[in-house]
Amino acid sequence: VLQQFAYVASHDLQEPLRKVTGYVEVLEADHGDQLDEQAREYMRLASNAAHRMRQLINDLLALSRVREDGMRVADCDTRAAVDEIVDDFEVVRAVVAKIVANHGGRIWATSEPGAGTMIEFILPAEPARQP
Amino acid sequence: MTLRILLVEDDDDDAELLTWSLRRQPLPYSLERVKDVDACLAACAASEFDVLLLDLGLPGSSGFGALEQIVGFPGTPPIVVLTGLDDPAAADRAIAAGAKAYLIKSMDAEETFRAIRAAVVT
Repeated sequence: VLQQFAYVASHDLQEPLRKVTGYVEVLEADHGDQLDEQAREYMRLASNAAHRMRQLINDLLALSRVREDGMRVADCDTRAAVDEIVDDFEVVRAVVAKIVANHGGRIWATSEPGAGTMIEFILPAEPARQP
Repeated sequence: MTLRILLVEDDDDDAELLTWSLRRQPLPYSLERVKDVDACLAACAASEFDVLLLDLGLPGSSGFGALEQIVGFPGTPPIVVLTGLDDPAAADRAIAAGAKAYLIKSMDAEETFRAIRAAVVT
């Protein structure tokens, strides 16, 4: 069921995203010279964000195929893969830290080379009053 | 030689973007667009085309149903299936059902055109 959902969701998300990317490209190509530096920078940022989202959708699609295809061994750029995982981890870390902080708690990590990282947090028994 | 293309695409945005990108490549072509299988078969009966670009996501029938219907109709040109999704299983299925090639929708006009032309020539 999860795989099916991931497949349908990735398919449905891809459609509008492809159009956003397409029309941004049309704007850049046909009207780029009418835009000032700032506007072109915004187009570039929009384009980057769309590219990033496409990667996320492709990852979702890959997830939907895990069971049917099994795992495949392929060459990859391990450095880039690690960077990407670290990027994603940074996002998760920031979200978790925010959640813990909003509940008046504290979170910290202890890391030992070769032994991994332990993440610990404490939350107050009574939730902090929201400011 | 002008490549005569019949595009079967229900989505206006996709048709617009494909038309835009084809205009940017240098080779000569003509493009007629229809939105469903019935209009596609009518167009094939009325004029001659070198290639038929078929969107796999047409409403009403499943994309593969549409493909089978068009393949089974006498006198239709070679079919290149267009899809928004890179899906090897769907690609295999489309080829097995009679499509000449399977193309992922992209803004790369030259690549798209090359693939279309290759499908017609081989």
